[in-house]
Amino acid sequence: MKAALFGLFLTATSWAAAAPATCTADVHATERTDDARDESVGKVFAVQIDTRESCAMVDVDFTATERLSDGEEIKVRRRGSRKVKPGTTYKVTYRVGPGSTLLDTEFKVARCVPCAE
Amino acid sequence: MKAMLLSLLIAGPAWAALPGPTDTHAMRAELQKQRQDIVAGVLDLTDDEALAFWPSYRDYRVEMARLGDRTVKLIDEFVASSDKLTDAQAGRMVDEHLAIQAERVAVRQRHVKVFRKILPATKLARFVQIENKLDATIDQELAMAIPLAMEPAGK
Repeated sequence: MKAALFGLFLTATSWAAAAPATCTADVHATERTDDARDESVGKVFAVQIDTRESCAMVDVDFTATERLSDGEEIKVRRRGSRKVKPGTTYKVTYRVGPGSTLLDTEFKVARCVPCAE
Repeated sequence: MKAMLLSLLIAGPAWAALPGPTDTHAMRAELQKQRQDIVAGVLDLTDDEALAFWPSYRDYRVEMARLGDRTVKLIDEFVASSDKLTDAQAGRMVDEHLAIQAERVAVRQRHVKVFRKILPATKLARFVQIENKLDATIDQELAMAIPLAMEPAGK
């Protein structure tokens, strides 16, 4: 029993040591003017990621709900990883084909890890 | 036998009725709307699989939707002229139908190569199966509504 408890303690400690420190970040997206081309329309977003860290690695999930020309409604999640500094804005473009309609979009922080010193 | 005949009789008027362009578009949209939900329910993807699979699935379905648009255009054209179809029109429509079928297979083959790198073999097989079942359902609905080609009156 003692050995089992010791083993459990060791496992827990090594797990805690291996887990990287996390941070918090907020994401704000603003729709910009479409980038229209012959074959598709680029939906452009200015995406600002706010964090109190001077440098952080942030994963942002972008979820788009799109209605295709045949009526199928597709929800797609794409993950982007960025090394961010406070007050930086990034450009994100999501291209939709002719006949498709973008119904909804969402940007969400999936992970924030401070940069290694 | 009696039941089969009865169902054929019930299906008869629907089969004989000419669908308008709006009917075809609405029918297709209604059948396609829940497609991703059905595929998602059958595949039961892990988070990593989902992140890789759905963007590729979307690219695949965009291409298939374009081919579906061509099919609907062909049906609209056929319905508008099915009782006065010229030989030239009929021949062109057959060629377009076969070209769409061939492209459907080509698009599916190209995208399955991508899906093979993302999904385990059994999930890929399940995906191909559910795609076939959904397409078969849509094709059946359309087949029930599309009349056979007629020779022009007086010919």
